[in-house]
Amino acid sequence: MRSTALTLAVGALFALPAAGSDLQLAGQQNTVALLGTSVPVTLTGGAGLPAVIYVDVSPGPISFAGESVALGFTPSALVLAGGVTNGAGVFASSLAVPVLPSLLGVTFYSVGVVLDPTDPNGLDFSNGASLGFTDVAVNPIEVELAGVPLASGPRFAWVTSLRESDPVRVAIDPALQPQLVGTNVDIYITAARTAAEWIATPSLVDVSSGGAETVAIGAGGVVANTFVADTGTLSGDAGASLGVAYDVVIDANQNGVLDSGDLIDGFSTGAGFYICRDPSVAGPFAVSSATYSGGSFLGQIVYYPTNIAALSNVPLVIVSHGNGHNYLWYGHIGQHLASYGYVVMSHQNNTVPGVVAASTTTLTNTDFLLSNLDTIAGGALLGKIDIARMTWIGHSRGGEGIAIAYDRILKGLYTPVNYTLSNLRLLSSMAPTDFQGPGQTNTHGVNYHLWVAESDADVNGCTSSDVAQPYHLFARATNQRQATTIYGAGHGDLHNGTGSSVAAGPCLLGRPVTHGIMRGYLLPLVEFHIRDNPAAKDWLARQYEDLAPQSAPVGINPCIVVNLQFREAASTGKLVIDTFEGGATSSVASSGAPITTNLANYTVGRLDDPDTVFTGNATQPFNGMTYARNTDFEGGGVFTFDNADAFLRYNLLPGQRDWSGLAALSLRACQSTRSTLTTGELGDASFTVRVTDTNGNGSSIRLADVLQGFEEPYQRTSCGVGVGWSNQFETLRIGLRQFQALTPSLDLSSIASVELRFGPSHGSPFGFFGIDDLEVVAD
Amino acid sequence: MKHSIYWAAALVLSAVGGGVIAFNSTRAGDERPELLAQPQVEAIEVIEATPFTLLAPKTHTWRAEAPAYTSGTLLVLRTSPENLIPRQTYEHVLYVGDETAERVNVGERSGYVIAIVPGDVDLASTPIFFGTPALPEQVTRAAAEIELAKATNLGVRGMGAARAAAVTGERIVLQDAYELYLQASVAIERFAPDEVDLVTGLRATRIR
Repeated sequence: MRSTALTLAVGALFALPAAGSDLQLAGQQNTVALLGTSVPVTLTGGAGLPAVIYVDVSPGPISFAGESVALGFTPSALVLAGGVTNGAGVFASSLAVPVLPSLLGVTFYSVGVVLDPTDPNGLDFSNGASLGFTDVAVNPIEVELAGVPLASGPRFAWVTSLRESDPVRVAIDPALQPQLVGTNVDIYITAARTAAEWIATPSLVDVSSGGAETVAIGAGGVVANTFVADTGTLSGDAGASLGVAYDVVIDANQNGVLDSGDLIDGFSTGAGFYICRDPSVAGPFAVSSATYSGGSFLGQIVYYPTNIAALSNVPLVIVSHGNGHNYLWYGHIGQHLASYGYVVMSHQNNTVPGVVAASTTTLTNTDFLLSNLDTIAGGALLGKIDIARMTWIGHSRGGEGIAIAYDRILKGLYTPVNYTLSNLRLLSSMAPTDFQGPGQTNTHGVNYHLWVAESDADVNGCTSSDVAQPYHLFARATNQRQATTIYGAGHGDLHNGTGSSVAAGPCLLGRPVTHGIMRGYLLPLVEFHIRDNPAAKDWLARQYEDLAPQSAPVGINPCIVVNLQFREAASTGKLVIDTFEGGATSSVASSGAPITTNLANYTVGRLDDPDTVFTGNATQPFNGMTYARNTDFEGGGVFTFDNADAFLRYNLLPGQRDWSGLAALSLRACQSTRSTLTTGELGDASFTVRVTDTNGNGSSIRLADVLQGFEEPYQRTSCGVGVGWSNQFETLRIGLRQFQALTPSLDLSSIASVELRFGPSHGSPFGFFGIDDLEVVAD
Repeated sequence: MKHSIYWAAALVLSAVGGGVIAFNSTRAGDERPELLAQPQVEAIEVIEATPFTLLAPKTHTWRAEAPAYTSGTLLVLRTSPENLIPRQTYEHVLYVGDETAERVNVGERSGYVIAIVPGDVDLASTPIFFGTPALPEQVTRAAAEIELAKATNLGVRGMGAARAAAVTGERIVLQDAYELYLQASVAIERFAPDEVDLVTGLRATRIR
């Protein structure tokens, strides 16, 4: 009877075409729909490929063709629709929900699959999605509320993650919520609930210090309407995860219930915010280890949670050491991640013959581990590892080796026995070499992370050798990528073995401090990529000065300088304005948007210092750039200005103007090393970003008001004459909400231009800057 | 492209009788010392030589052709520790005659390097030297022969019959490469005791 009802209901619901690897219902993976409404459906996959959507009453997962598929595929499962993805790989439709009372209390689960020839098994499965139903119309106003105050500019930054013991502040913008001006409201911090849970249980239960706060909303702007909702008492104890989820509710009618007219941060788009414990501190699990060998160059040590018998689907991280290093030297990684429920294996790596030999031992050791789970550590890992979520980490030659290994599998030059390319979710290189260039040392479209130790005296980043420029690998990553650069860290600081730090330059950190920084970033890195943890992203995408582990105190230890770069995956729905590649020039962006500027020397080209030194050179606009060799194509823009205002304006095409579903403007920028325009005022540099809508309403934000600017190069000598190491890009994000806070009339659905403004009126009075990756991101 | 510029410079320097490649133009802190652009004439002393036979063949990944072999020589060599500072970038390739040698340990502190070379070596006449910086896996037999010729022209020679006889031990028979590395770990423990993690790693219990 239930099956019949399901079939009928499903038939009524899901008469739509389908597509692939990312499936969202109403912009979410899990949503609740009101009967009689429609649900937007978005499926994203490879372009022009056949695709199918399945639906079932069970969420699964099941294992199919070596993958974990997020659907139960019970006898009730149905094929809903088949179709072909469009040229952009995206299909968007809407799903009409009938007024059918039998749907109440039912949850349907769905997964998409794209028949993708580039996928190792030919099937590109999407995430799972769920859809529940309600007949209660709860329509709170969804708005960002939690964040941190700013001293100037938009006066508040709405964020996702906060550190444990830091106060939680809530800001209400009266210009955007004029109905609240002159009223008293109650502020609740609650345990996070899904939309379905809010609908089912709308009563408000405050968990913050002092209970719910009653405040008066005035007309005085964000500053006057910023309130401390918790003094730092909220728990961040997420066990073997990162971040405890909370929601914020502004109870407008003060009735203790979430209902229409209330404001909520955390209804249909995930939690309002997360409180995070210091991610560099060990997790809750005791850690065991086992050292063993499978023969020549198959020596391994595995770190795992001592209670692994009680765990399931444990992600696997594999570490490949560097030249002259040892597989026993990565306990700082193994112990830390295992304490959070990961299995970490570090192996003997054949690095001395070269990087191709090293890539072979990465491949063979991965297979050896997976082939011998019944024997290793007494069989403790057998049946526990989720091979669909693997990470490779490599150091120096080993860091290049993992890229070559990935490339070899992709090209069919090596066929693993126990895993496929799609099982590798993340590759992370620590100070990698680049012997082989883009033809082999290439991570292609897999999620990629890079560590750079800016005091590295081995893979030193000097332009005298392409082999020693680690940013090449970052630049070759074609899709999602991030980089972490640590000033004062040496090559030897990245492992925990014996020997020196292999470091040169000022303000050296040494191993303990470097490892604290590494652990504090590594956990969010794997949580984001491997466990899809939404609390993790802020730790990767916000500036380090803005969100750093408590135990790596920026500002207290002046030597701690960490620069972060982060680029979203294409599948996130971002709007790319300029990659500075693919035909981009100084007058036309890669997207086709026309550029106007009065910068006298704006130049677009390859981010590759053309000579062998960092010595300042007025004839070399790309001096200090180490993101490409001459067979790479990583582009960027460079320019100078000197005590005169200037601008660089992107005039958006009609198809680029609707930013209403987007979240932040993102770009990366750097200062050029050893230029008097950099050294003349050594410190963070900044400029102003202005967006203007088609009605002429503009909003300008000075970077210095919302961010820390972008860092001066590390003050290291050698590699030519002068002081200053390679140009240091940092990713800068400005929330679109912040533009609206300054100019409420700004119409985000019709943005006409983005303008970067430089000079004394807008930030640093003079400078020599580089820019890249101008995007508007969705999250 | 910059890399090829370096090699072009190296060739020019070699052609005029030697020189130095400034992989780092100045030294500061732990920065790596400069590498010679050509084979070195500094003597490498042979402390011990142990011929061995393997019952299962081992692949010599240290040469581009990657030959398999079942007999070879385990060497204990002594040289200036500065020659043994590990680099992630190019390193001097260790040659035994016209064959690349596998370096099992680092030797940066002790000055001792334990090496494996395929085949039975006539130590009396075979020069042992550090050649031009390269990745061994990219060195072909033909390139190795050129390196040997360069070294010979620079005056590098074998140790002579008497010394060779004095350092050469009895042949040992081992099952496979794993056992060979166990044997090498004994030498590392004796001559480079600071490399205790390497010894521990090589001696990890075999499970298959």
